[in-house]
Amino acid sequence: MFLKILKKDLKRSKTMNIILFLFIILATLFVSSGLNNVVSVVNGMDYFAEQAMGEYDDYFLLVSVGKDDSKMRKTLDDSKAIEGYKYDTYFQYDEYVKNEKGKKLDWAGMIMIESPSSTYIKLFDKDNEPITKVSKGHIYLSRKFMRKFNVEPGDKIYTKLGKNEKEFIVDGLLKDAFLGSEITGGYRFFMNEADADLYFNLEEAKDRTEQCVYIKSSDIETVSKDTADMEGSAGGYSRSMLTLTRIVELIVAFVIVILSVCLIIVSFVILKFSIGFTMQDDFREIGVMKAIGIRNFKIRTLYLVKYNVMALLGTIVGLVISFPFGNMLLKSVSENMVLGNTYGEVVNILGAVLVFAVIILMAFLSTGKVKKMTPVDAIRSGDTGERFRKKSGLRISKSHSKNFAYLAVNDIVSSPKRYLNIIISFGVCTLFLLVLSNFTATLDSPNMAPLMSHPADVYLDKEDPWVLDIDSLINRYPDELKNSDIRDKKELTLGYLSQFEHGKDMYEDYLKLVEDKLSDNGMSAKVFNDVSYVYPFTYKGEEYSYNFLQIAGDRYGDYDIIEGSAPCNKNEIAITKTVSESFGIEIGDAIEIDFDGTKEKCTVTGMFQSMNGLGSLIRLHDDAPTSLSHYTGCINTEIAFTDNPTWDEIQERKDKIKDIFNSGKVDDRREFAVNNMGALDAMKAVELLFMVITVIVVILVTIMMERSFIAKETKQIAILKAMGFRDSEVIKWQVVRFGILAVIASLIAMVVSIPVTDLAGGAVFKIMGATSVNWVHSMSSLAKYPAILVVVTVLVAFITSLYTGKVKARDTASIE
Amino acid sequence: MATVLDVKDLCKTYVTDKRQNNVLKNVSFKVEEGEMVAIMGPSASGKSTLLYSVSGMDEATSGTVLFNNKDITKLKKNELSDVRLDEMGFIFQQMFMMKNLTILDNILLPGLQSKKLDRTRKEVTEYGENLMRKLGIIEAADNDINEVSGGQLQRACICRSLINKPSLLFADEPTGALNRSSSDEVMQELKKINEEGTTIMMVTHDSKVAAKCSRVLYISDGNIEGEFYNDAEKNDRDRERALNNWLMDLGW
Repeated sequence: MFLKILKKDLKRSKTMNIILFLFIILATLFVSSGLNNVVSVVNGMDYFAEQAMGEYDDYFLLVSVGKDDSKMRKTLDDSKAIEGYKYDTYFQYDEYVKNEKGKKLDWAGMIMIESPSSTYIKLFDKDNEPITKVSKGHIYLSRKFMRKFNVEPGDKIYTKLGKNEKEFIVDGLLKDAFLGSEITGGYRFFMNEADADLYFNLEEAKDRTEQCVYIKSSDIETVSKDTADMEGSAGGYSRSMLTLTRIVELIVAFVIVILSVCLIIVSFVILKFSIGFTMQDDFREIGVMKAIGIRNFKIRTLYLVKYNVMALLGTIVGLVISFPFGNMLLKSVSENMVLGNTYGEVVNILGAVLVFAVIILMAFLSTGKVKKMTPVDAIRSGDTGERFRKKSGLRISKSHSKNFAYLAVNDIVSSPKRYLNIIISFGVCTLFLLVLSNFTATLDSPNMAPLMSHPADVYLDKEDPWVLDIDSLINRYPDELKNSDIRDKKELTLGYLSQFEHGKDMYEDYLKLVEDKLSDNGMSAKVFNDVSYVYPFTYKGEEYSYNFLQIAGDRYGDYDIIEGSAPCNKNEIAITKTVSESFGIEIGDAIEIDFDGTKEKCTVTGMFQSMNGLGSLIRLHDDAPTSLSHYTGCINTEIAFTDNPTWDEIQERKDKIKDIFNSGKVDDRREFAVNNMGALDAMKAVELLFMVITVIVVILVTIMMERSFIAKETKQIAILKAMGFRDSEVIKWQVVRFGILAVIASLIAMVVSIPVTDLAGGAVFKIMGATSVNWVHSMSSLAKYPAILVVVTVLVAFITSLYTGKVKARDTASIE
Repeated sequence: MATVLDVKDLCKTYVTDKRQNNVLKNVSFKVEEGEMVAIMGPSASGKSTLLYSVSGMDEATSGTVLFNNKDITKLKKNELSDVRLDEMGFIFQQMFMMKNLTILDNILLPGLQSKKLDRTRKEVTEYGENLMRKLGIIEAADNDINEVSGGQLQRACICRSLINKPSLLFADEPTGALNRSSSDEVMQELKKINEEGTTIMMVTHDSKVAAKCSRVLYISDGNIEGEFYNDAEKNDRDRERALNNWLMDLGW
């Protein structure tokens, strides 16, 4: 008999059972893949580092050693804090890279030419397999290089080799745990030993051979001190710094994790509702069973069997789909990282078991109502005789709306609890979508640029110096430049000028020439650059080697100071919150900086924010006695117009500057910020993915809820029709009610999204060094998704509510 | 007197599991203006089907139903809805009401939906309150539907059915779910409404209720088997006795 009842139940509540089954699958899908993603992302960098560097992953050094690395090795061997080390040897390449069409790829930073035999770190291919062999004439490139310059596997690239050119066939991308992140500058060109040796055997290799050292240590502070003065060192990086360089990718990954959590919440809310609903719908059957003497336990067993079977089948299906689904979610991140966890599929299975257990628990608790149901419930058609409270202050006599609108509003006001599930489900999805949208809109705005450099209007990269009067520069510094190879240079980089004693002055004069050229072309501007140096400094008796930032050239305006005031002379500095927290330095404290033997006591006058080096830097006054021999990097040539042009005028000037300097790359603030962050595309992809998933969830929730409402309200629909209400009026009532709920959920989500974005996004950017972000909360980003979701909801509610057409006025006779 | 309802050769057949069930077989009768007609008959004789078919809630298989000289079997779905809203009233055994509305709001709902009388919201409200006052339930106007007794609720349903001043009131077992005293109260009200000019057609099992009507139609196996006119001159008890004798003759 039980089987008959079960069969009847499955047939009678077919739609509700199908939807419940779908939600069990969805819940399992989200929980299983979500849990796996959480574990993978939380352990993301640790897992990747362990796979790539083994135990030598506590501290890293980049050292220019030339042909002889004995001094470096001695320093490392002498340090008692170093338990062991490994290293890669690479050729630092800074010439052109051309594609098949002969176009020079506009790269900046450093290219590391190396081969499997000269490399300790494991570099991985797209399938996460270590690359142990590269065929002669073939090459693997850093993924970020391939992405940035649209290089595909099978393409050919050309590099300079002495006075000749070398052709390589690209085998594919490589995933690099140390330098693979978008915000680190280096690219690896991984090639066959014989090919790499062609570079190591060049004459210039004596200056361009460098090593990347991987150190095992439990005392990295001492390692930092011991290696601070190492000759040729371009700085050391701790494991935590390495993790931070991945923050942009991890942000995307965490977004995916939050997405999963969000969907898990929605799934459980819906599961709870649907289980409770199907149980309540069966009051008559339960009442009759009780009346004929079937015990509570037997009745509960009947329902538990049903939910057990559905849960078992649903979780199995969900579990199977969760593997490809989880991989799809993490794809945008795992293209550049080897993400995974040592637990593998167990995490997914655990997720599925969890969902199964939750469903059974919910079913068990819901079937607890069986004890309270009596035969009288069957007789009284489920009416409990409960006296309802006065529902609301809304009265139809005082309402000015149409009847269908009044009924819709009155329903929600009368029993808001009934509609809470929908508001929570829609609200959570919309909220998350809005936070994501705000985040993406901010990344896609000019607001981020001041967090990366001194504010400028345009950023000029790879300009042709020979449109300027470089001869005047040569004449000004004849001793150093007359016999140099400056005339062979296609660009004048700080790296090149750093070899000259007056390199910094030369560079500032060069920037002045750029400024004059702009002025000749009717553009009044100041030209400058944010230059990074590494200097040792002493604070409270401890010596540290640290990154400093200084403006070179003729700056315009000032950078944002979030506390205190900007440095006014060479003995004043500004620090970031990161520096303050790392060293315990506050405004008013002084540190002693060693400028090549000239020790200057510098007082902290203010706090600024910067995402460069994740905020690990100190800003010097423009007059501080820096030298290019300590130079480590710079921003592009920065141009700030002094006549306050509009955004449109800046766009026009951009094109003009491109023509003047024969440069293909002139960025405005937005482009500069987008290119530097490098996360925009991934965020947009995640946003789109989540949008699709949210729409699917909203469609399912709407169908399920609307069908359940129709089932519950059959009596009322029939009486309305009997009284002479047209079908269209009933449909409008149902649709408007859903529309109102979607609008309420959207409005709440819109309001809440502003502080939540500031809070959640602020926490993320704080890790990156920015303590105060000017978020974009534009109406277009705030209204776009709620509008889509409301339209989808109304449309689906309309289609589902057509089912009310099946309820006839005549049904008043058969309703019990 | 004008004919409000003229039913000719009405048939209703249900098809379930490929089996035909002829519930109404060529039923013909008339209801004149001001009449109070009861339809009686054994269970499954087709009483309710007849009521629902002639009121346009259910589609007739064949035959004509002239309501105020308009053949409602030829009307489209929306036109039928408009006829039910503007010109008919309905009272059901189960006292169905919209559960999130107060008693008064339930009564006003069809009044505000109808455009027939071109009344303002205020006029509809006043009319609804007057009806409630007349039926003695005005104090329950702002009450929830679960806060009143069955008798009060059925009287509220009567108010609702009258809100658009219908020319014909259909009642399906209006006292079926009420106790005797509530049943008497409701019937007194219906009688009063009928005396004021509203035509009523009701389905009932109860000869005590049917005895209050002016005419009784007896339906059995989908056919009208007989017609009985209650003697208005007799008292309630005598009329009920006479009706019961007639019913017994028909095999009731």
